[in-house]
Amino acid sequence: MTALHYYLLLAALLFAIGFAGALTRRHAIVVLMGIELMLNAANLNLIAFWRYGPQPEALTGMLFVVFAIGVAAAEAAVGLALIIAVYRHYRTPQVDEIRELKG
Amino acid sequence: MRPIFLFLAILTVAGAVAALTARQLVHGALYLAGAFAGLALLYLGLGAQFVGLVQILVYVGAVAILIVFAILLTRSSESPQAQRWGRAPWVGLGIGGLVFGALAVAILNSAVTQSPPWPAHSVTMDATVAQVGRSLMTDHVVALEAIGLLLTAALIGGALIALDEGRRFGGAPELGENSPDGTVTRGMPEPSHPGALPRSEGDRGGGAHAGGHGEARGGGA
Amino acid sequence: MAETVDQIFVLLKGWLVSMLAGWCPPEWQETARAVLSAAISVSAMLGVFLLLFGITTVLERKGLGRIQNRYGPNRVGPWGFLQFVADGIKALIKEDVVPRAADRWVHFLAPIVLLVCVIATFAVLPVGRNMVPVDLDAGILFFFAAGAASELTVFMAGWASRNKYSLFGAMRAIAQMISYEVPLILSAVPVVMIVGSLSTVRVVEAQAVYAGGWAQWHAFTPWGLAGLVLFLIAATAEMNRSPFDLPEGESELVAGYFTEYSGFKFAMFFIAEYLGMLAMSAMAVTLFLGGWSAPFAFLTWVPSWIWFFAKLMMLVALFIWVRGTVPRLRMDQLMNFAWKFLLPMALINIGVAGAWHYLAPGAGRWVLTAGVVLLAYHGLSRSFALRRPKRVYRYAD
Repeated sequence: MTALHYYLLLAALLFAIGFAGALTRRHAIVVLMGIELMLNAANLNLIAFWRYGPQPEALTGMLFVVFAIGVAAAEAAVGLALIIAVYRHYRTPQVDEIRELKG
Repeated sequence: MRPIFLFLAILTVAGAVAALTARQLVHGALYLAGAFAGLALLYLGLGAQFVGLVQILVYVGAVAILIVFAILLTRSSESPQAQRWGRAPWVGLGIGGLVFGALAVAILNSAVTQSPPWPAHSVTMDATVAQVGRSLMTDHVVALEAIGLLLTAALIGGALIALDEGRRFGGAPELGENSPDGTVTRGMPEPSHPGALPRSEGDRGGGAHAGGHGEARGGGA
Repeated sequence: MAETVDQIFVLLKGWLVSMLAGWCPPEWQETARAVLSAAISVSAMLGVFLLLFGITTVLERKGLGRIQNRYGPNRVGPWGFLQFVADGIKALIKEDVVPRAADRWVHFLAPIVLLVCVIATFAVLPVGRNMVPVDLDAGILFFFAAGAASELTVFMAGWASRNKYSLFGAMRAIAQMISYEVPLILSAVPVVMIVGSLSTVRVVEAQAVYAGGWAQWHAFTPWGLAGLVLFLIAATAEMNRSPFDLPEGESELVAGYFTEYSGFKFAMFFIAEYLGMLAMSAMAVTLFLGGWSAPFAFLTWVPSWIWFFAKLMMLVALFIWVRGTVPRLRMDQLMNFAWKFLLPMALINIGVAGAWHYLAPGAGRWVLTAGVVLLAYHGLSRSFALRRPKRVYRYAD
């Protein structure tokens, strides 16, 4: 047993929390928050594997996280802009009230 | 190592749970920032100094603020959410629990965590920023270029999407907001007599101003 | 002799640590040394910078008074220099009023987290030779990360107060801080590129080299000078000081995001603001003005910490001067300035620094890089002036 599985379990728990939140909440911003948490859980996995993996000097896991953070930042910016645009149109941020494609 | 890990893990999980269950969305965003900070500290504890600090800079410094901005712009902070959950929350919770259960069983039974096939090495090596930079600029330079392109596209796209529809499609500039049925509410009536000064100058200034805001929001990420 | 004076605080700390650790049982020796060393460094930094904060407030009020043709504080202590003690006591014994509608916890946490974030930035500042609390490998990144984390507390303060002026102030502050963070960090990038390290200690060491009697400060190069000016402008906006003090513009918003704070919580915002100014100035000194190094080789006998604090106070004086003389910007001017002038200028400056690195040393390199910087400045400021709509006055009819 190594310390690796503590980190993997924590990441799995975070992923599940984010997933459950994204599935159950009605508010679009909370759904996005859940997705961000899922991305972060994946990042924690990558860092843990980089640290406890066979070749930490290759830095691959770490750089993967750097790129993932960049992608997540872009996703958050565009996602929140979309939420604001949808809110302008439908006057509601609740995802289950946005039912029609034609507006 | 263990007590610190336990403390940070509890902090992160508690922050995540509180963020997704909070009745008041702004509180949720603040808890989420706490969870991000806890994750950053976990990264620092794992010796990934650069990633830990980038996590604070990007997530606590930009994404949390972006979320807060979106909450205020969609007027979601004025009253606590009356009906927070979707139609069948138990299904979602059940699926989440199942996912965690499956992952946990897989992790605890996997050969990698039971007995790693590679030799255990010292857990003292820190990746220096110089190493990270060299690796970014040599082995991963294509990914770096791609991420630069992606961020530029996100910056422009975010600013465009968040602009008013009327402005985006080259419609008439307006002072008020577009209401859903297409009528335009104006702050003041159009001056009709010929002596009135042209308004377009001032309005263009207003448009540039709003554009600046859009860029500010996109660029923070 | 000069060496001893230069290192006097380092020696003092070593002596204190060994004396205090000597009282501990031998098996705790190592832990005790680490804890004591950290505690002494932290308390020394805190003590010095809090004292400097007090002196700066008095200097600022006296300086502003001089600029506005009045006296400023002159009653408490010699020439009014103990005014900050009286202010501190006043803030401590004042009633702490929390609005009934306020979000009590967030309202309470905001000043504390802000102060913690600001104080954390001092951890990586080298105030003298061998005098840095932590020599982090990513020190500059740490500095900016701690600064970025403090932005959320500004929102917390403004939102939790449930006051429209507070919320306006907070939103203005965040929009401004996020916008100016980009040129702030980008203007520091050339230094990191040339030095090849994110460690503040390495950055200062790279500048403490002398050629022909002159120090190799980054501010003595075209890109360094442009970077210093960009950094100082962005830093002024980042710490919400005049002329970028819209978030707390008292003629519009009472006091911005800390309108609803009183007593010692208000004092904490005040302390955080000034400590932030000191930290930003110290970072500018570290990045561009050679940190603790002397400008000329024949002046190296002056202790390093005197150089650092002298440069720090010079920049503080510059900030006070700017606050007293430059009028406040409008919101759209502020945003345009950040995104249409500072940002492209900082990007061009990065390119110039790259060219500087690869060109052969000599007069040609100087002329070329300085020319590009000046050309960019001229072009951007010209386009800025042309883009500005003609001012139209509309009268009530």
